[in-house]
Amino acid sequence: MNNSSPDIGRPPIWADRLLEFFCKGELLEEVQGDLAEYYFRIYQQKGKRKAGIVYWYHVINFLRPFALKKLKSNSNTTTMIRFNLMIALRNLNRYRFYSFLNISGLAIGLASCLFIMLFVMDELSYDKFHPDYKRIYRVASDLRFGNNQFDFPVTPAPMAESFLKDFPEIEMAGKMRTYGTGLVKRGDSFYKQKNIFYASQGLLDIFQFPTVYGSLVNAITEPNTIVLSHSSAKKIFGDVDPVGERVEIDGRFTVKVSGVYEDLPKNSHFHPELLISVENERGNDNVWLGNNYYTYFLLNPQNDETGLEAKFASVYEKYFAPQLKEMVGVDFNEMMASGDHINYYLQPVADIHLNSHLAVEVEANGSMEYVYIFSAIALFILVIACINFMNLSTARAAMRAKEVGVKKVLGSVRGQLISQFLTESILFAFLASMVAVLLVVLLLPLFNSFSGKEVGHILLEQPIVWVYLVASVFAIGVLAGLYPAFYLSKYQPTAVLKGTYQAGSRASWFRNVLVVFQFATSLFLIIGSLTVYSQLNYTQNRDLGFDREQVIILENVGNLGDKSKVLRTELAKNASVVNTSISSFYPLSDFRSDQPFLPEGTTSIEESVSCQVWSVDFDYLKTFEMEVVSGRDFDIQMPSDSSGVVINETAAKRFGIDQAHGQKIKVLGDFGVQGKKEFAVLGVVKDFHFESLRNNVVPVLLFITKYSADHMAVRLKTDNLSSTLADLEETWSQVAGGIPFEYQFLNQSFEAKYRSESQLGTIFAVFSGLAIFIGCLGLFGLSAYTAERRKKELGIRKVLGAEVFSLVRLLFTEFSVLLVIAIIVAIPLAWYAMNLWLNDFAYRVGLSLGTFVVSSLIVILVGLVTVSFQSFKAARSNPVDNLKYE
Amino acid sequence: MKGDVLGEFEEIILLIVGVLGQDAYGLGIRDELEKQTGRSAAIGAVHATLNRLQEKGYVESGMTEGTQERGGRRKRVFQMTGLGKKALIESKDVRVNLWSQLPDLNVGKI
Repeated sequence: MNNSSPDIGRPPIWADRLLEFFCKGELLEEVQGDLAEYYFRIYQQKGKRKAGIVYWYHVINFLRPFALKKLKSNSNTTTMIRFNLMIALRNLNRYRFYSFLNISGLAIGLASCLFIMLFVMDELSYDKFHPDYKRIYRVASDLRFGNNQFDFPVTPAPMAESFLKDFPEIEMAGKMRTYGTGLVKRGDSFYKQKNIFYASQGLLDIFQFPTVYGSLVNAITEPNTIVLSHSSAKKIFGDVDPVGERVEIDGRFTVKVSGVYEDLPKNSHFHPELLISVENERGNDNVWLGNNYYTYFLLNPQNDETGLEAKFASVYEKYFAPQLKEMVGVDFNEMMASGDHINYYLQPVADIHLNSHLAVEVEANGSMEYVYIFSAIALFILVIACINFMNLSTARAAMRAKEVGVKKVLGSVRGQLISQFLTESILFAFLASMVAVLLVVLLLPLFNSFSGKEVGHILLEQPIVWVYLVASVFAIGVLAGLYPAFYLSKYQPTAVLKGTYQAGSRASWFRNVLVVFQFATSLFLIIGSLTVYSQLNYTQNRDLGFDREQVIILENVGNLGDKSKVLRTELAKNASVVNTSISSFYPLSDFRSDQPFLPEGTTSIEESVSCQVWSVDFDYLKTFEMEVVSGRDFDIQMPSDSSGVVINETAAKRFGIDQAHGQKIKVLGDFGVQGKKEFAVLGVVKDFHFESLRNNVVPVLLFITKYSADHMAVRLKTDNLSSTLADLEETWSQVAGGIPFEYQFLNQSFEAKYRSESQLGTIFAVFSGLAIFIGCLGLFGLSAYTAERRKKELGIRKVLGAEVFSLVRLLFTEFSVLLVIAIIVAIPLAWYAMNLWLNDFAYRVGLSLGTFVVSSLIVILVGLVTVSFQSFKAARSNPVDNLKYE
Repeated sequence: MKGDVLGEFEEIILLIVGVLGQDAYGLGIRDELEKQTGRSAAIGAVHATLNRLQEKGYVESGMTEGTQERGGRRKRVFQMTGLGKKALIESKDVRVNLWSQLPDLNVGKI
């Protein structure tokens, strides 16, 4: 035994310390003895690791009432904390009014912060659920041809496969291409399916979606195979395993289901619901000059993206030069020398949601900017609430001064007083945090509805939130309590007790600074929300270049085939239908296609203009009520108009066309449009907006197409929308036979496009409302205190004949000065910040003087109303009541 | 004296203290419990019960010299008191009495 014990060592030291910390002294020896004996026994039987775990288990098991040290023990610390808590609770109860103001202000502040924190955490969590998210990258393009710059997250079709071969750093490569919305036919039933993509097997291998039915391994390597999300499978097949079933998509493919995967969580940058094997879309397998595919790479571990990106450049010539020569007739090296560039770069998948704002993103992304803005607002609100706390505490100093004096006389040292006041403020913060959690739980549905998120689950899944909360309770308690604690504890007992000490007045400059800060912040937030609102209003009421009211877009028209003509004829008989137009392109749709064109008399790529190419029909301009500014609209009576084009003002400017009269423009390269390579400009249409107003209008060319398209725009003129819609549906079902009647209102799609701005507006408004409310709670308490302090002065003035009005004015003046200073401080800051935000928009409002005046008036009004409550009360009270006590 | 009723676990621990005699200390009692009944209890649970029995006056205890494997720490050895013996007998009487009143049941077949 003797020689074996040295290498046995000792039980886990931290477990021992824990035991010594909580276990009663008189029990410690026998307990430690028993535990040690047991430890060595297990050590010899099962080894060190196991013995350590067992030891910990038994130590934790000693956390029983009988073994714990008594809190009532004569330890100085515990006695002091208990005593401080008792005094704090008594004070809380005695000054209920102040306690209420303090706790409710802080609770609202904390609740706002919690909400914003949940929002921010949700934004930051995007795409971090993929097993290998740190190694997954998406390829984005930065291309320049002639004068045309392209930034988008799509790439040529062959990139995924070619780069996988070229670069050993890439472990897997996958790609997908938007298919859009389609009709899935199973048996005789049709199901509308959104978010359909063509995808390669590599995509499934990279992302490893959790499987529900079947298998995702080699699931879509064969043509005519699909995998789909669980909710889509439920919709189409019911709650059964659909693997092996066959369905038809838009009458184009008959496909077999290979597997079903779990729906992607909300915090994903894409939500593919049905993936068709990319083998069904092979036409442009080798084309490097078109960008249609989202390409994802899984890099080998230990490879960073910057090293790899640098290597991409080495293969561009190999792939692009032959095709440039052959299809566009341009020499690669000459083109590069003229300042054009090809540059593909990698975006970490977890960065896409907040940091990628390119054209044709898979879904609308969030914005890092908003994450910062909201975090700043949360901080502001919290600071305002803390300031309340400090102000009210120091203001109440007058009432606490005698308490401090007596304690000091009885031998309290400053440290004890400080710890007493800190205990008090931590207690307040703690109570406030409990109210805040209650508020958050109650208001969660409301918050979710106006922020368009689901954030509640974070509270349960991320315990770190609670750690933050507890930490911030202590931090707030200490920070907010620190100044009052030091301030109150430094009183000279003799001065205080003799009554010569004008308590609270010396700290007033500091309080005033804080009040100014509070109101400046509130004003800033009010100006901010008014500006956001006016910008929003501007975008929504702006002349878009087309009339979006009373237009509905019918979907699934492509599935009608030739019957779409019948539908048009039938609809034309309806008195409420003014015009109809069939086109896949309409303002606000995500359907886009572009191509470079050469103006008359030019040949070089430098002079080409990249234009959106929209296929429309003869009634397009009439249906959308777009205005022709020069030349003419398409005319169905003129057969030659099928080689004509109507262009927008931006395109006219780029082509150098003032007055449209049949000038020729040419397609650059081998691809024609509608089989033709030269077009006559028939007319110029006023610029119309079809993307977010953050973007400038780009050149658009409208062509007449003979092919059918997926959407039909219907302009209505009706007072009874619901009955008109019912008529339309009846007409539809007579013609369409089973294909569902689906439509959207153009004005609603427009509003959806601006949802992120309108959410910002709401959040801004709500939280600036809260900020000013919390500020007013503080001001209310402060004015009550001032009135209280000047009670005697007011009484004497009144006895000497002062009017109520002049007394109120006296009290007002003090606060008015503070409000004016706040306004002077806040306005330049707000002006600067809001200008910065507005500069992001291509089409923006100016900052109006009105916004600033209105915001200032709101702050002054709310501030003075708050103060007047207490002022009138004090001024109207009977002087006898105020003066009779001395 | 409701508080002085012997709980089931208390009764077993008390019995083991009686059985073990000189060796009746925390870990020893726990080992004996496991051996006799197959129940394994946390050391803390055994200590808590012994503590309660002592408060009720059913056992008394004293410290003995420690051994090498305990890191030289002493151990507390428990001894049943007269009161403890009385409580055990009362508890047994109650049971015997109840058993005798039990209708013939299937006792024999068990």
